[in-house]
Amino acid sequence: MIRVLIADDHGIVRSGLRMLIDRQLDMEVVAEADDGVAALESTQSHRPDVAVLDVSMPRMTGLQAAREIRAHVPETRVLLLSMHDDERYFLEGLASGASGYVLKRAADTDLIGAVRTVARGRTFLSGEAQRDLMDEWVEGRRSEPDDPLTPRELEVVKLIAEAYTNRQIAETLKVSEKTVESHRANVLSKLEMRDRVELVRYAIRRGLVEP
Amino acid sequence: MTRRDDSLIGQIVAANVVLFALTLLAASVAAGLDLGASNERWEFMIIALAIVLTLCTNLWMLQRRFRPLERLIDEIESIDPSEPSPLELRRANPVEEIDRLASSFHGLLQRIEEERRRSGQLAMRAQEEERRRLARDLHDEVNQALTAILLRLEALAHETPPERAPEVAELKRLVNQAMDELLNLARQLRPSALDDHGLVPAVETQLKRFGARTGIEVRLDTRGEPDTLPEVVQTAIYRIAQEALTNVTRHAGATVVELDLEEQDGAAELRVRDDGDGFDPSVIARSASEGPVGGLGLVGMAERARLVGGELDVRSAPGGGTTITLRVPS
Repeated sequence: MIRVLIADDHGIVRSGLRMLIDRQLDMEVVAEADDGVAALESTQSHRPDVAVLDVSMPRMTGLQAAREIRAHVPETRVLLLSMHDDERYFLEGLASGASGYVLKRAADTDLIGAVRTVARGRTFLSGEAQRDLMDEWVEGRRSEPDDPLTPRELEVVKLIAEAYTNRQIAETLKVSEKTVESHRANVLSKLEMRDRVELVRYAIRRGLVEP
Repeated sequence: MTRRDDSLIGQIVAANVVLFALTLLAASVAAGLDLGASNERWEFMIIALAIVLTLCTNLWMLQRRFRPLERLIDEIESIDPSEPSPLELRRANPVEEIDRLASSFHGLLQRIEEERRRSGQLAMRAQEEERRRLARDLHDEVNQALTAILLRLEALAHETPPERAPEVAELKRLVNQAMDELLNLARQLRPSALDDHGLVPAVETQLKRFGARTGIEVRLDTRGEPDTLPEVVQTAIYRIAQEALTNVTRHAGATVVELDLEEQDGAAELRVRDDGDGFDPSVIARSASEGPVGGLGLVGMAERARLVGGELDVRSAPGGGTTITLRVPS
């Protein structure tokens, strides 16, 4: 049984989600929340398998909540529900630690499959988003002759793209947090990038992270 | 300009002549001249000549002195109110009052221009704010309701008898269509990316969508940090780029559109170039008064540019493509 938390500031959307999820034989809704803070608290107390979060919520956005859940309840998978199909929005979503990104306009066909996919520990993206990222990924495999990054830096990029915090990266790689920070700064300046969102895109192009 | 009979020069000369004639008359009476006596007629001739001479000298001098004033009037009359900066009025006039008149008029023009820019910016900002609110309402209220309907329809589909399934599928398709149209509308009103991610990603997305919709090849080149420009300038750049792209689809035949966006030391430059059929800018300028369609929206773009202190340059020729450049100084 997949235990699901749903968070959306619109009651009508929550009840729609609950109606659909509760009809599945292998899923149950264990909690509802109407903003990001409530979603985080309820995730901490209910420890669901999957938290379905609306991207734009009051008090704490879905992205912020995803980051917090990733840091505090790592076993809960986050599935973001959003209106926006711009590439940058779902890159941001992945960068904040979500495992999946479902467009609201495709919620009818995608949502249930997405919950099952992220519950299995895999990544899910709605149709268009998936296709765009796949294009970049394929293109990146074809044309990336020499990489300016060292193998260690590539390891760091992969972990950053998977939304690990500096401390978690330091623990994973058995180095100090300071070293992680300097790796991060080096990578950004080598690649002439400004933020994590651009790093996620790079990681996908390089095949470090699978969309 | 038609000269009226009661011009300032005419009045001064007339007054002077009357005064001079009276003075002479008084003087001649005091001197006991008898204008009726024939031997004193030549003296009368001299007086008359003196009066005529005075009149001419007076007229000539006054005209010389008043010429700068008339030039000033001509210049003021030739000022085009739609010109961004009023032309520099001639300075260093020989006559102090005219000089002061020129400079105070110049000051007035500048104050009017400043005020116009300020109120224009306020109006634009209010418009953007209103569009932002509308777009958000469409997202937050209407689209959420549609999402809820979609989810319920999907839940319903699980217990619908197979023969009714196509009906449910059709309903879901209609909801999807409405959601797409709503998103499109919201995006045209004000793309949330502009507020959430900044100018460059917003322009990038806009260009990508444009390319996908029209099949025209798009290229984007950005330099500097356009995201650090003042918000009004960013909005102006976004809207002008939007309008320029709309124009590209209007004059058919373009296969490539290049968009360059550069920020350097707080100054911005946007260039949108296409290889389409182009048009004759003078024809467009003439038809500008027919509204946004006649003017290809160029008038609106130029106005937007002006309100943020920038200028718009449109270069096009039939068959030679079009380049629209916006420059905003820091």
